[in-house]
Amino acid sequence: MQIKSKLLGDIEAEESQFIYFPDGIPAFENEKKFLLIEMQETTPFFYLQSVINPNLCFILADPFAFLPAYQIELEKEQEKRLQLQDASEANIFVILTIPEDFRKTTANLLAPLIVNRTNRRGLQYVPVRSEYSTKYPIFQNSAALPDAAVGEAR
Amino acid sequence: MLILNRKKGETIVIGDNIRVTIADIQGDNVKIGIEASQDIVILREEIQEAIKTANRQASETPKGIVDSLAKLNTMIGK
Repeated sequence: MQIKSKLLGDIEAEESQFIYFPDGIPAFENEKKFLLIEMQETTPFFYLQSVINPNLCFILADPFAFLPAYQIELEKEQEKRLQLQDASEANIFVILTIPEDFRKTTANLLAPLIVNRTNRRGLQYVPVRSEYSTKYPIFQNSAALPDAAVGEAR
Repeated sequence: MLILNRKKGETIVIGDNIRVTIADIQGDNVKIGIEASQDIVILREEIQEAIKTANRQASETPKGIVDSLAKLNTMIGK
């Protein structure tokens, strides 16, 4: 079927490629089916496009690419909801907020997305206790970024 | 909203599976103990709101970001 995306244009995808978020994503509880698209091979960025809403496309990142020490501890409840048999089945993503000035991009480390890649179910995990913030700047050393790349983000 | 008066150490029972106990009171601060089955999500309201706000902000990605992300892909991590 064809998925419409404001950001990416029309995408051809099969139902079997969708990732199902049974509870939606907080503030978007009605959005339960998404398509996860790798931005490029070997890069830590992904799109998470809603199947039914062309306007809803999150930009995700692999948190370990910029914060190798990142840690989350899943509770039994989440393992049950995702039907995780083994921790190795879980993929972890964080949602990025990208402002006009690209260098100020932040990642929501507090509430990562956990996806069971075996059964393609996902959820946004909100830990009861966490030291992480919803606005972790991913380009800590932003002076190193070329102006050209930043300029085009506007 | 139902409002009940409880003293330190007293408990409220909600349905069959939820118990809320006033563990301690210090001035404006109340420590609350909650016993519930694991399938019930318990969150501080401000954290739930912070996550909704973060998700709404994240959904408003500026146009033109796609090309920039592709360029920056090579600059972060692997």
